[in-house]
Amino acid sequence: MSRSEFIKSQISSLAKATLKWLWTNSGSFKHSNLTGKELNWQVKPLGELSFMLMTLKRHGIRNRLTDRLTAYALEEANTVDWQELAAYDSSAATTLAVIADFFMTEGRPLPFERSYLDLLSDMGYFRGMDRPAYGEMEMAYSLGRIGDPRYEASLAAWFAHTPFCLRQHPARYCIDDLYSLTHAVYYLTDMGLRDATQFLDAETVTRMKNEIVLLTAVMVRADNADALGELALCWLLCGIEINELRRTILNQALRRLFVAATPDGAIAPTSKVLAHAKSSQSNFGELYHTTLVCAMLFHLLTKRTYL
Amino acid sequence: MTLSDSVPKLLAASQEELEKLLDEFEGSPSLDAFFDIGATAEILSLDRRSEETTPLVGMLSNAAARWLWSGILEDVAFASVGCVYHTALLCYFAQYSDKYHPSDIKTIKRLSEGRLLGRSDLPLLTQEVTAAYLSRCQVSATFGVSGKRDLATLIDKRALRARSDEYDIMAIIMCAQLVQLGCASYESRVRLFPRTLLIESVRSDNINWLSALTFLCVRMFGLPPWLRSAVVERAITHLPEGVGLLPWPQSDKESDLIQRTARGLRLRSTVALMLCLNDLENSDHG
Repeated sequence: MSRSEFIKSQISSLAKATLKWLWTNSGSFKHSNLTGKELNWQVKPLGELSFMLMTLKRHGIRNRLTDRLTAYALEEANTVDWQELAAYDSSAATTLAVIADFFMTEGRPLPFERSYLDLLSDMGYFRGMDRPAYGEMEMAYSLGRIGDPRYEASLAAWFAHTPFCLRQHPARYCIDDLYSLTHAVYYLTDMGLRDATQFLDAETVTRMKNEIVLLTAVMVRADNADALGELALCWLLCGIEINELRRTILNQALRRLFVAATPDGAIAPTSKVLAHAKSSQSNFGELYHTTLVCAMLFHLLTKRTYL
Repeated sequence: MTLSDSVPKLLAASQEELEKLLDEFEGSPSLDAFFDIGATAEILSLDRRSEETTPLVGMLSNAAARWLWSGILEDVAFASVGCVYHTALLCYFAQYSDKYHPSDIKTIKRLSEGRLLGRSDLPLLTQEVTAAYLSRCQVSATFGVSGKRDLATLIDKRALRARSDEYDIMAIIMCAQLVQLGCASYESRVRLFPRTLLIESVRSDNINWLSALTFLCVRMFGLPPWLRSAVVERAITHLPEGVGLLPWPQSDKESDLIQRTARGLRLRSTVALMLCLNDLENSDHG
C-alpha cells in the first residue's frame, strides 16, 4: 500500500470509527438539569454535537449513524429549558442560535420560542458581555445563520481584534490564540461554504492561509490533537492550496491524529489521555471534543479529493 | 464616632497589608500575590491622588519601579497572558516613583512593539485598558483600538443577567479606568449596572462588593441619595473596631475567569471604602 493509499484508508476507517464512538457514547451528551454553571457546561457537548451534524449535512454528508445521532440530538435538545439557560447568562446566545440553526436545518420547529431569542437580541442583552474577539465572531456568525443580519455584518470588524489580525508573533501563539484563529476561519468561511474574501481582502486571506500552515507545522510537534485537528480542518475550510511541502505538513498532521485514536474509535487530545483511554480510565469529557472535530475532519476529507 | 474617624485605622491596616504583600511578591514572586497587588492597584488608579492614598500610591509606585527596572514585570507579563493588564497598570504606577527612569520601560516597549506582548486572545475590554495604560507609558500599543465602543451597552446590559460574579466588578472598574483615561466619552458613562450590583450587595450584605461599588459610584457613576443611607448603614456594621481590613463576606461570589484571593479582595475593598468614607459622611450631613 502506498503512503497516500494508507492515509486515505486510515481517514475512511477513522471517519466511521469516530461516528461509531459518538453514537456509542451518545448518552453522555444528555444535558443535566442542574442549575448554575453546571447547566451551562452540560449543554455545551450537545450544542457541539448539533453543530458537527449540521455541518456534515450542509456538506451533503449523511449516513445511518449521522441520522441516528441527529434524531438523538433533536430529541435531547427538546428536553432542555433553553429559555432558562438564556436568562442565566448572555453567553448562551451562541448555543441557542446553534440549536435553532440545527432544528431549522432539519426542518423541525424550534425547541424554544424564537420570539424570546429575538426579544433578548433586541433589548441588547447579548451585547452585555465582554467577550474575546472570536467570541464576538462566534455570536455574530451564529445569529447571522438564523437570519439576524445585524450581527454578521460585524464579522470582519471583530476579526480585526483577533491575535492573528493584531499580528501576534507566531512564537507567542498560545492555545487560546490558536483556537481564536481556527474558529475565525469557521465563521468567515461559513464552515467552508463561502470564500473568506467575502469579508477579507486577498492579502489577508493569503496571510491567514500561510499562518495556518505554519501553526500546523508547529502543532505537529506538540501534544495537542484537539488544536491540531481544528487546524487541519481549517486547511479544507479555507481551501489552502497544496504543494509538496504543504502536503508533507498536512500528512504529518493527519498521521499524528491517527496515532491519537483510541481502540474504541475516539480521538484523544493528548498522549496522557490516550494512555488513560487504553487502560479504560479516560472519561467522556476528555475525549468528546477532539472526537467531534476529527469526525468532521475525516468526513470532509473522504468527500473531497484534497490530498 | 463619625465615618471619617475610621479612615486612619483603615489606612494603617491597608498600609501594613500592602507592605507585606509587596515584600512577599518581591521575595518570592507568585501569580496570587501579583493579582492581589493588581486588585489594589485598580482602585488606586481611580483615585485622584488624595491625601489618604499618597502613602499607598508611593509604596506601590516604588515597588513597581523596582520591578520594572529588575525585569520582574516583563517576566510576569511574558509568563502568562492573563498578567498583561496588571503589568501595564503597574508600569503606569512606576512612572510616579522617584526611582523611575524612562529607559526602564524599554524592554516592555520592545516586547509590545515586537508583537510579543498584549496581542493575545483576551476579552476586548481588557485589551483596550491594557493598550490605554501602555500608551501612557510611551509604549506604542497598536492593539485594543476598537474605537469608542458603547460602554453603556456593554456594561449596563449586564444588569439583565440572572447572575453576577467578581468579573463584573472588574469590568466596571476597567470601564471607569477607560473613562478616566479619556478613552471613552463622558456620554458613554454607565449608570445602571453599578447601581444594580450595589443594591444587590446591600441586600446580600456583601461588604467586599459594597465597598468597591460604593467607591466607583461615588467617584464615577453617581450614587443616588436614596441609596446612600442604606450603603452607609451597611458599611458601618462592617467597619473593624481596631486596625484591620474589612472582613471577608460569607456571601461573596467568585469567578473562575479571574484569579484573585480573599486577601487581595479584602485589601482592595478596605482601600475603596476608606477612599469614599469622607464623601459619604459629607453628603450624609448635607
